[in-house]
Amino acid sequence: MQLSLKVWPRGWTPLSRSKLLISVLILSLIVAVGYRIMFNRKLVEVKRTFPVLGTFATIIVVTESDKSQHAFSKAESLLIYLDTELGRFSETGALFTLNNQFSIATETELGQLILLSDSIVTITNNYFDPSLGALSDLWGFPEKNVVPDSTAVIQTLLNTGWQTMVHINSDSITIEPGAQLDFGAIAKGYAVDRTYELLMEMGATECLVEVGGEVRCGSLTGRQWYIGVRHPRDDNLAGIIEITSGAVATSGDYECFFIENGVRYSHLLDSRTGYPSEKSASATVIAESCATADAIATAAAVAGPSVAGQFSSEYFSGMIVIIADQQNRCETFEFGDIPWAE
Amino acid sequence: MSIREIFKPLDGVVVLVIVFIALVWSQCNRPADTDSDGYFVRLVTSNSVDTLSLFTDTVIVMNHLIVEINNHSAGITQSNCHTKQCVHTGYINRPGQISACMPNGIWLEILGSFTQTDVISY
Repeated sequence: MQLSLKVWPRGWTPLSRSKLLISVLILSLIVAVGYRIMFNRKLVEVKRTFPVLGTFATIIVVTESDKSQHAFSKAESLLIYLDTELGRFSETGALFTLNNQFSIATETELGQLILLSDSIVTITNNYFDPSLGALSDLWGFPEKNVVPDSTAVIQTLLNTGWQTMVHINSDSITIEPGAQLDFGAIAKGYAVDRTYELLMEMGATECLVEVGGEVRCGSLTGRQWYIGVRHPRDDNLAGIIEITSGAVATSGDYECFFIENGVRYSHLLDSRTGYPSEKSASATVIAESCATADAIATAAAVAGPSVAGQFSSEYFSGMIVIIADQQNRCETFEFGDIPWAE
Repeated sequence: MSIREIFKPLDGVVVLVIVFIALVWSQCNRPADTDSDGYFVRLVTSNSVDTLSLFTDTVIVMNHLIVEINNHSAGITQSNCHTKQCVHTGYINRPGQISACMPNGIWLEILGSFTQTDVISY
């Protein structure tokens, strides 16, 4: 039976095959567009690099498109706040207050970092020691490098030593007058952890935060992340680590050093001698938290492979220590499980 | 007009393909990154941003430092800053790698997305 054509445009046969197909196509597109507009669930991966904490931060985050800008804004604000609070050269933050007034409350951002540091000082047998601020000043790190005379080194060592200079109580933390705390070996990792946790709480499904080479990553999707490990003596990578979640941190003698009379002096100061350690070129640690990885990497770089290999593996899953001789020939030592990418 | 007269057997397949494409598009979550992979370096100063080819060897003499592009790599080769960390960094050539002279506010970054690594721990 032929339907009436009165209500249809000229040339339109109501149930013609081609018209139906076009209708299905248009309807499908309308439904798809409507779905995206109504639910706005478009996930985007955004990567940004920006200067902060005296270095650069790179953040990769997968989140809903309308949230990414806000997430980056919050992350950057948090990093700037932590830089002020924990930075050695900030003149307004909590660390400045502690170093000059010798006391802060335990329930503060810095207080929590000190509690964490205390446990890592213990497990690394003081190879990680944030009480070396005065010693670092004596050597002029990072900008006024000078080799001090041995008497000054010995004298300055009297104002260092975590156990003797830092006193942790339930409600307050005090330091001895003359002590200068410096959390440069853990603060970046701590900031990475705090930023990563913030972004995941804000709804990221995949997230990687890197500040000055310290990395924390994870996802709700099981995504694999590939973290290159810098070789300490050439432009190549020492390898690529493949992880779904966790932290990777590296400390090396190439980052901050100066050469005087042919001798390389790095910022990796040994609390036992007061001089830069020459026991390794770099150390990389894989752990659950970036603060822990950061601090243990510094300790391992100072201690060298023979001692670092004795650190309790309860706090990290893998460690790579690379030593180099005067001719820059390197040897790599691995401890624990290193998830090298194939 | 009956259904059999309206549709031919392959029409169902066409309709399914159309619906499938629309559904996939509506769920599509990941836009492709269109950066050029490792062919360019971004040079950021306090008052300019330039993109330079890594295939053209170049020496850029600035007020306080020298940037060189050489052999598909870029680096800060001289600087008046005290620590010389930027010079110690050496040449960079992988997408995402950064070399920076913070005291002078100069920043080099290799552009691109295709890389074996997401970031580098250093």
